[in-house]
Amino acid sequence: MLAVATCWLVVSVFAMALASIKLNAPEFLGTSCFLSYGRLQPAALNALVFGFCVPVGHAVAVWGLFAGTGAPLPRKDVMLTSWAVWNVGLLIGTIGILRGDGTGIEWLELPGYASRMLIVSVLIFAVWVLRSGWRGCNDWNDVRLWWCVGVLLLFPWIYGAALVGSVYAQVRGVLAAVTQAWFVQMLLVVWGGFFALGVLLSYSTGTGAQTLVSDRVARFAFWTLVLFGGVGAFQRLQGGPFPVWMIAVGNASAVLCLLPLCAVLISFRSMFGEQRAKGKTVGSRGIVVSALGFYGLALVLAAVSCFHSVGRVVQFTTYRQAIDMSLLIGFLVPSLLYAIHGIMQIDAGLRWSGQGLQRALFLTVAGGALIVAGLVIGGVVQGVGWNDPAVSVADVTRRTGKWLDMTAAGWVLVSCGIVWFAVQVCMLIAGGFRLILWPVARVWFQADIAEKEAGA
Amino acid sequence: MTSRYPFLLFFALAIAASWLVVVVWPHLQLGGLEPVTIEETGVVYPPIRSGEALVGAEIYRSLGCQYCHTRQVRPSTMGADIARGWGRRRTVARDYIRDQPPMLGSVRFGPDLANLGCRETNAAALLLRLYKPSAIVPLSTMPSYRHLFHVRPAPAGGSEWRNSLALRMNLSSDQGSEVIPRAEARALVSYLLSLKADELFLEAYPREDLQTTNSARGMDKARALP
Repeated sequence: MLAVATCWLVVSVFAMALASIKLNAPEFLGTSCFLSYGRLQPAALNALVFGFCVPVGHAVAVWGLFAGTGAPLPRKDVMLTSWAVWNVGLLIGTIGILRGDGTGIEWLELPGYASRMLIVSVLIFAVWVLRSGWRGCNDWNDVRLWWCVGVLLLFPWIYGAALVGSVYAQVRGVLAAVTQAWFVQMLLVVWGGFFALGVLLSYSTGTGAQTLVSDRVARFAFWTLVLFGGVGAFQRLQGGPFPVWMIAVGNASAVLCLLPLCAVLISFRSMFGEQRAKGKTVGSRGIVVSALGFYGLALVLAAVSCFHSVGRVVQFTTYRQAIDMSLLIGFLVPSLLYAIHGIMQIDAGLRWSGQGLQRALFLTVAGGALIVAGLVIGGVVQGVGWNDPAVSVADVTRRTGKWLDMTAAGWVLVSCGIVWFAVQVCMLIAGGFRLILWPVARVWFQADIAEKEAGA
Repeated sequence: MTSRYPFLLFFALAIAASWLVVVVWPHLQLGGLEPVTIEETGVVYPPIRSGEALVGAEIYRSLGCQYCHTRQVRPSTMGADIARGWGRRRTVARDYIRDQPPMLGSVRFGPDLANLGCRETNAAALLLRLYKPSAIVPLSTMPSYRHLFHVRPAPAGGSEWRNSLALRMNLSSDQGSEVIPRAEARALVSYLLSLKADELFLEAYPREDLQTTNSARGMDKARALP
């Protein structure tokens, strides 16, 4: 499952890099409509989110639920069926977007015929989780269990509601945009927050080995994130054709989202302090700090854009993309890579090449930083240009171009990091094959040869 | 919270609260919007688009135009959209009630298109922009949509396509050939020309215009009094 997700990751990140180059150089690799920015970008984004982030998020949460409690995994076949349907649907959908069948609703572009397969898969998965997935979980005082269950239950709910509202039984006019904004906000801020914070908490202290320093602070972060994270969706609609109360509520929620951020930072800080006092090392501290940094940056950028003077500059610019990419590439993807590293190491009993993994994560994080910086600065430059009627459209495009080049360079770096990571995964799988499967195969071959010799 | 059920209950309630506030509440407010009749002109707004324009909307969606162009004009207090001539008023929810999906766009790599049909009335210019954007704006980063056109050697006795709109261009790369827009290109242009969000009605009046109108009405009433 993780290997297939890694393949999606490699393909999607390459496609994102290509799309960001095509944004500034539309003639690059020809003018085929399949490779135009308008199709490549949504196809790549959907492949990244639904091909890598969501399946790996669910795999890690399921693993955390069972490995954490020591319960056996019931009805694996149901889960695997759900996963297979999901991947086939996504493949068909991604090709559909490139063919021009996308729905036109950002982040939910998968055509109806493909997203139906995803919905079926999600429903199978949700039923599996509810019926058997958590039977063995009894210690509901452990807040890390909440994060796992939150990840597993939240996605079917938000994805189903968003698809019904904006694709199948489409609501009228701008309400489709409202539903889409809610889905993206819930996915990135709440679902992504649950997952990545849970992973960083678990793996930085050693799986199952630590309890949180302050359960109360972690619980506060959990509930405030659920409450304010989703309502912050209104902030995405700033400047649009929506009633003022919606924007005001969204702005208030975006600022209140700083509360869970503070709680998370306090939690991590005290945990690191306790680890240090006990003389224990904090696993991959650099990754944890950088991922938290991107999470904090995204929430702070969102809160800052609530101010009228900032908002009027950054609306409809790449600034909003910077917030999303900070959450997706800076926070979620490194956390997922970190989780894959943790799971494969423990399950396969193999060791990763420490330097290889660190280099891959460093390239990904550095690329993410370039992407976010390019989009933020480019967004401000773009916004200042759009707000000055004396500046022509061509000039605004020209001024923004160099910052978009920086973003493209960031995507190339991320691609290098991801390829590096994929090579590590391949080596690990090959190592697993050598250690686990090869002895079995050798015994089989030897028995076969012995049989033949006896026959002769 | 030592059992799974209280946790499930609170979790479901918290998620449902955000869904109710963000999705259901706006639906209650905006879901019932209907077209409005403009008193002065008797026009029903927003108008129903022609069949060709509806096909064009599908092409617009399929090409992903909304990833580079917004279709939302901000009020003058929030930006210079009106000063740029992208509209004479801010766009409101009622402008989009006939659009499925609305394709508002979230980033502007090019100009806003909410009122493109008001500021550009020449279909040939739009076709040329689709065929070769750099012919109109040098160094334009808009991709060329050549697959929406037939390019063939120009016949000696003039174009056979008298009923079609043939682009006549003085472009070095296309000299000696005629460029004939396919049905998709014509549909897309028809849709772009139909993009107009300029009618004034109650919630769409710019604040300053509303004050002017109200004071003018008041003066008219005062004059009418004996």
